[in-house]
Formats: sequence, C-alpha cells, structure tokens
Amino acid sequence: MKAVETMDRGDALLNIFIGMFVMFMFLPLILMMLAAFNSASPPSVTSWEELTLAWFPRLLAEDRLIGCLQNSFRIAVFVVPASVLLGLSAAILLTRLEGQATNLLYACLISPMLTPGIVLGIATIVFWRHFGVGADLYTTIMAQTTFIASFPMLIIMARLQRQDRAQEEAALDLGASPFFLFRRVTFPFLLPAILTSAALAFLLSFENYNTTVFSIGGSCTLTTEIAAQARRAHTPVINALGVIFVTVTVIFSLVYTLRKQWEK
Amino acid sequence: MKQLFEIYGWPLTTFFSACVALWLTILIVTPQFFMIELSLRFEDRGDRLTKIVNDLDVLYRDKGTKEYDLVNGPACNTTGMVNPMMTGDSSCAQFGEEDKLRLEQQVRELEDRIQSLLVEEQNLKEIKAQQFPYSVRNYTAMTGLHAWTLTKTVAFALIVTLIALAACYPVAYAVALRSGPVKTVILFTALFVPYAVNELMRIYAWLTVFDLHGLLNTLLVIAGFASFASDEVIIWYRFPGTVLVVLVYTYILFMVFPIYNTMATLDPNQVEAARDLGAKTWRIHWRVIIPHTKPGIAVGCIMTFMLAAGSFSVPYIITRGLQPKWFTQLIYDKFYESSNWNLGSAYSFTLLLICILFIFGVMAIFGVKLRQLAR
Repeated sequence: MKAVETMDRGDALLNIFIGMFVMFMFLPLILMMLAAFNSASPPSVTSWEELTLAWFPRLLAEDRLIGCLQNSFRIAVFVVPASVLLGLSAAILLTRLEGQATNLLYACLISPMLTPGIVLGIATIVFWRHFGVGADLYTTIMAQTTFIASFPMLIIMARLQRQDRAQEEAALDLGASPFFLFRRVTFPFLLPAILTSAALAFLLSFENYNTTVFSIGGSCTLTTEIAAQARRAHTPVINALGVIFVTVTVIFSLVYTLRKQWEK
Repeated sequence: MKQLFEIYGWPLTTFFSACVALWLTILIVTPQFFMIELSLRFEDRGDRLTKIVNDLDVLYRDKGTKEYDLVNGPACNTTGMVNPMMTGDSSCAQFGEEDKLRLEQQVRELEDRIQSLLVEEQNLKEIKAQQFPYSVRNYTAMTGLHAWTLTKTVAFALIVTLIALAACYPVAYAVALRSGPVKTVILFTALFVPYAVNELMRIYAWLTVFDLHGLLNTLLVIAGFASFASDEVIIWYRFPGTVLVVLVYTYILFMVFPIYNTMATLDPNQVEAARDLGAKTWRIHWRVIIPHTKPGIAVGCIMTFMLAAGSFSVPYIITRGLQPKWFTQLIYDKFYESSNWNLGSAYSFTLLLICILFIFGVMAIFGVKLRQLAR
C-alpha cells in the first residue's frame, strides 16, 4: 500500500515537472505572438497600447524580405532533389554492400549530420574559392546538400531494410530486366519514404541558418534576413512573421499527428 | 557488389555509385581537406613580402596617374575640357615642355623602383616556394582572449548539454512510459510544435522577455525592485546568462526526441517485471531503462553539444553587441570582416576537433557504436 502511494506522488511530481517544461517551451512563443497584435513598437506585451492587425500587411511592403524569401525557394528547388537523389543512392549501396568498408562509408556519409553547421559552410566556401567561385546562393546549395542528404539516406534505408527481397528475386526469375524491376517494384515501394524525405529536406533547407549564413556571402535567405533584422532592430513586423511561422507549424503538426492516429 | 549488379543492373549501379562518389568527394571529404590545408598555411601579415606587394600597388597607381598626365596634360582630358576632379587652374596652356620633362623623369624613377621591387619580390617568392609551406602557427597563434572565448563557448555547451539531459530524461520517461495512449499523443504534439518552429523565431521570441521594457523588467518594476521612470532597470543582454538560457531553450528538444524514441521501444512489461521482483524506482531506472536508452541518450548529448557549441544564431541575436563575441562570431569575422581565411579555417577546424572528441568521449562513456547512433 505504501509503495503505491509513493508511486502516485512520484507521478504527480512528474506531471508537475512536465507541465512546467511545456510551459517553458511555449511561454516565449506565446509572448512573441501576442506582441504582434499590439500597436506598440518595439513589440511588447507589458505596455499594451491597442489591439491591431496592422503589422501583418506591413510584411508585404518589406521588399528586401520578400527578395530573400525568393532566394530561400531558389535554394530549396536545387537542394531537395539533389539531397533525395544522393540519399537514395547511398541508401541502396549501403543496404546491399557488406564488409568493413561499408561501415566506413556509412560513417563518412552521416558525419555531416554531426558536424557543426558553420564548419560545413566554411569548408564549402574554401573549396569553391579554389575554382574561382565566390560565396553566393550556389555555395549555399552545395553546403546545405552536404548534410541534408544524410536525412533522406536514413529514412530510405529504414524502408529498404523492411523490403521483402523475395519480391525482387521473383521478378528477376520471371525475366524482368533490372531497370524494369527498379521502376516497377523497388521505386514504388520506396515512394512514401522518398516523399517524406523530400518534405523533410525542404524544411531543413528552408529553415537552415548556421550553415547558410557562413556560405552565402553577400546574398540573403529568409532566415539570414530575419536574424539580421532581429539583431538590428526589434520590430513587430518580425513578430507578425513569427505568428505565421508558429501557426503553420501547429497546423502541420496537428495534421501529421491526426493522420498517424487515423492510420492506426 | 555482385548483389547490386544482379538486382539493379550495371547502368543503375554505376549511376548510384557515381552519385555517392560525388557526394563523398565534392561535398564531404575534399572541402574538409581544403579547409585543413588552408589552416596549415600561415599568412604573416607583417613580413617583407606583404609589404612589397602593398608598395607595388601604390607605385603602379602613381605611375599610371603620371603617365595619364603626360598624355593628356595634368588637368585636361582629350576634349580639352577642364577635368572637374582636379582643382586649381593648371590648365593645358600652362603645361609646357619643362613640366613634361619633369613628369617623364618621375615616371622613369618610379619604373626603376618598381623593377627593383619586382626583383626582390621574385626572390622572396622563390625562397618561400622552396620553404615548407605548412606550419601549425595558425593554431598556436591564438591569443589569450580568443582562447578564453573558446573555453567559454565549450563550457557553456557542456552546461547546456547537462541541463538538457537532466531535464529531458524525466520528460521522455513521462511521455514514453508513464502516459496512456491519448496523453502520449497530446504531450508528443506539445513538444513537437516548439521543436518544429523555426530556430530563429524561437530565439527572437526571447527578446520579448529580455527587452528593456520586456517581461522580466516589468515584473521587477511591479515587485518594486526597479523603475522605468528613473531608468533603474536591468539591461539583461549584458549578462552571459541570457545566452545560456536561450541556448538551453533552443536546443533542449534535440535531447528529448532521441531519448523518447529509444525509450518508447522498451517493453513496459520489463519495467513491470522488475517492479514485481521488488526493485526500487531508482534501481529500475539504473538497471532496466537507462541501459536500454543509452543510444538515445548518446545521440541527444552529441546533437545538443554540437548545436550549442556551433551556434552562431543565439549569440548573434541575443547579445546585440553588448557582450564580448562568441567563438562562432570570431570565426565569422575572420571570413567576412578581417578576411584572414587561414586563421578562420584553423579556428573552424579546432571547433570541429572538439566536437569529434566529444562524440568519441560520449560513445566511450555509454559504450555505443556509431552504427547504433543514427536510428
């Protein structure tokens, strides 16, 4: 009886702790979002002036911000297919190869995930300077692909490991060409993993800051521009952008969770 | 390899291999190699060769100006109009034979000096080419201030990792093993949302707390410890503690999810069995849950440390220039402000080495292998 009581007390403590933890995670975000609806500038929640939506249309007038946003998309357009292709190739090789060399290859290919982003950015601009290419969107595409490709690799590998190899052998026995086999059996099987990793690659590219800021030189992406503005001045326009970011994230998270629940 | 050829055929196999080879060479290995190579070349900014190169620049410019004057006259251009850049009335009329001879003489003198400097530069370059180009001077030349900055950055990253581990283990435990299915989904979503919100937005959000008229100062004023009217408020951005808090906030969730993912694969019956056999709570953690969760803890520690030590965004936004620069900011300046790429590469590689050491340290402590890490 006593043991049960202490367990309940432990659970109560745990509940209080996790409640505080979640509050800690949400409080700054909520404050930031509230300040976006206050007419006071610099943004504040404590000196409330007037409820307003005026900061949202102001976003459209920020020409530089919009130019940088376009750069973010330009980069992602190249990074996403490149990362998925590299990740897919590596996943296929790693699943089918055996021996010590494979472990080394594996270690090399996940090493960019464990490398500080700024080091990847620096190595990229140093490398391309040798060929006379200055730091710009192009170097950022290279630097981002270096580590983003590791994520599709892991996702696709996980799915490949669940593949029933008898299927492939059967197809080959029945006279299918290897290319036909890949197009009609392996690729469709991998498609969900490929789509998931493309979505993830887009998010990683779009949201990346530390690698990007070291490899982009004088150009900008949405994230480098947010950081530059956040350091220079504290304006409610960025808070309005924050509201959009958080809202989109919440919607996607809920859709993702609900879909996962529904699939069960 | 044989298996690959059989299943995918040689065209596809070659294609996949080529892709991986490109990734390895152009993106991963060679850039790192170039960076290390650059960091081993010491560029002496005060040596004779640098001075000669600078002097030559100045001499060439002088000579160019004088030659231009010789052809066009000091203050005229070819159309005979007065050059608006030149002041005074030294117009074409006053530019006689004497001036011309004087200018020619000056140009010849400049030419002689340029020639002698070029010879010296050539000699110095030959000597330099014969010398062994590599040294570790970029690494040993780190000033005391920069070494202290590096130490501080690494110490902060370690503290962040420890705080994150202490806070996230119970959180992951609560979500993975102490909640019913509905509660798990709710908690998971509640943790996933701040994890997925853009890193910069999460950092930026803290300005609302730390600002001069932010939440903290307002609370102090309400409590009577400070006053806005007489400007007796605290400038929070001056304290390194603010960077620590925001570092913890920004990277703590990279600890939660790896731990949660491995803990969720633990069969709850194992915990039940241990309890039925009379094990106390701490003993269940120590002997059942932690051993199972080790790979997740290792990944969490590695990611949190690496992100905190290599973070440029947090100190950049939070210090607002009111604190000494962070190590990542020093590296940035070496590339984009004082443009000493050699030294910058050395600093960057130092940071990478520290992270590699940390990874091996963590793998040794928890006894996990690389292959177990990335799952």
